[in-house]
Amino acid sequence: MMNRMIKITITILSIATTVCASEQAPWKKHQEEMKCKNEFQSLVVSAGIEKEHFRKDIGESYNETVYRSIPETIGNWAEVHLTEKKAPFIYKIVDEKIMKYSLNESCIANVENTQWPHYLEKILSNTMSEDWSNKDLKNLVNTGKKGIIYTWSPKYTYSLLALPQVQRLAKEMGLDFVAVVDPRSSKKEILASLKVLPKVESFKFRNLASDKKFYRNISIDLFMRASFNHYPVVFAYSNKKIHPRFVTGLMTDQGFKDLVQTYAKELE
Amino acid sequence: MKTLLIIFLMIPFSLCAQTGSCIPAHQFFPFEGPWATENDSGDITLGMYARVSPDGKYVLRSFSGSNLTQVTLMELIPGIKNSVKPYETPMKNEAFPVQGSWRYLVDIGGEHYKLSDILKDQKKAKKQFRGGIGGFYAVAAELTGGSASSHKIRSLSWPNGDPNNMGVGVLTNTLITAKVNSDGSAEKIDSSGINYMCANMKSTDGSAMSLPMISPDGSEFASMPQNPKGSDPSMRIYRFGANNKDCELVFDLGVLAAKIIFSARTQNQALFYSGGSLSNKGNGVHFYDRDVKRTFTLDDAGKKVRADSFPGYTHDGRIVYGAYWEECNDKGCRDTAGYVVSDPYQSSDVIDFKKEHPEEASKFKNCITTDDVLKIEEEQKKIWSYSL
Repeated sequence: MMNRMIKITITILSIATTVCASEQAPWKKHQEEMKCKNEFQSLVVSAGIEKEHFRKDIGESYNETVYRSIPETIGNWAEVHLTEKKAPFIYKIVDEKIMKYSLNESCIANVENTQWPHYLEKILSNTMSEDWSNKDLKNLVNTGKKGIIYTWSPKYTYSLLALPQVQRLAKEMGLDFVAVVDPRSSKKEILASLKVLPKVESFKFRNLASDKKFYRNISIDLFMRASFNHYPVVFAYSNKKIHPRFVTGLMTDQGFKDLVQTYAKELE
Repeated sequence: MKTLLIIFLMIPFSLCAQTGSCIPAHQFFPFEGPWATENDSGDITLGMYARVSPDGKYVLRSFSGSNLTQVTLMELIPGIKNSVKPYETPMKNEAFPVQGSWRYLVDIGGEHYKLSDILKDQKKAKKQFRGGIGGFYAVAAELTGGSASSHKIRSLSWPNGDPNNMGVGVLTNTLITAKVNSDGSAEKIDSSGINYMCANMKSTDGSAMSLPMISPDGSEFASMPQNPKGSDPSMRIYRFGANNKDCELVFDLGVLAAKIIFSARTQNQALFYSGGSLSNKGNGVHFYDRDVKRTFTLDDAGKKVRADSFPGYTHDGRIVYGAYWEECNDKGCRDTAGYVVSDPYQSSDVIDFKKEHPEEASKFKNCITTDDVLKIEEEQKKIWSYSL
């Protein structure tokens, strides 16, 4: 009994250290040089992000540090921007709307709707009937089933060539499978590349990826999970949650199964 | 009148070429012509995967759409109107160069081709030899200390071999020695076999590494551990251990990123694409300077540039990347696809850093000059002559 307890404790601890290497309120490390320190703390409270976990992301200049949240709720994100000698600000995404929480020179708070960056605006303004959004993501994950989301791009050859392998592995593992495609690609480009696939791989399309049908991923939630950096990326979901870690690139069968099983177990 | 104006505008540039003045901060090479098939959005269906030659003259490039799996070698041709000329190749998918020298271009099966043969014979080019590591995501570099007649090449891939007894997701590398004969032909004369790597990192970085990339001198590589223990996944740089199996962590970028591209050793920078934050700045291309320990961004140059995920460094420090951008005139704006050549030293981010931190920024020169470019072009021509 004692041994079992120790084993359970070790398992819980190892999951906690694996998933939660990120931290709460990481901006506190920068408070020494922060302008409008106290007002920013109030801004954090009004944005409701004080209990979120964050991890570091790329800043947009040499003196900017960015922390992006790792949300429990699909679609709700926050980004904290800290720049030397300037007041920090926050972007908050709720229901596909983006708000900026900022402080002016006198440290007075301002909250306003703001625009997506031009590269996202380009994607979001070019709508297609095949668009697959946060709403679709929520519907999928909220079923409570176990499954994987495969993001691929016709611009990344291997991500298409590996689609049959990952689809097969999902079936072998008893997981639901959905494939969504890079929204930077056009319909013509996607369909043309899907026609090439059977010429190089023996493959039958199943569930949401066929030579006539595809889902164009415009889910802001998946974008915020850094899924646009490279293709393919595979997300595991279970128990109405998406694992914050994911599988990047191609893997051997066993390597893929090991990672996905680990993630699925941690979501239970 | 228009012609006169163009000639008048061209004079300062041609004088610049003579005097070794600064190259332009950004140069745009639109990809047009029969290969540049437009899709229904008017975009060109290029693949993301691209590798840049040390002199910035060529880009090895994959395709998308109906040309999926094909690989071309793109020549960037400067002129009154910059242009791009594609050469077909016999290679497929993510064929790769032997970095450092670009002495060979390698197909995914390990077939090594001379660049001069690809330019001359295109799809009919004959391979010189087969060797090095196979598998997907393979990369290679020529180790320092070699010569035109004999050189060692390290190739790296992930994962490879039997997953049941070799671990899964593990990186692998192999070393081959090649020689060039007096008639210009090349052959493989030695191979180390496969080295299974990074078992020594398992307790911290886990056993599944992704997005491998090798440095031009073959001494380091970058990779992102997928499920590390006690830390978030992040892009990291490692050194190859002396036994070619151990991996030594050099530094952790601390963030998620696409593949890292190493600069020449003297420049000591790591280049990468990242989807970026929600700020409306930059074009996705970033570089980390390992001396000043800061990450810099390439600015947008007002053309709403959307960069691809595989930028590259030339040996003189220029950054070359596939991109889409807006070309605007009286009739409005249209998207253009092609390549951008940027001088990182002329980016507003580096200029601001120099103003604020002059001492720390002492390693940054004002710009890359036309003389810097010419010097690298001459060095590269010698390598591609394949003469002893």
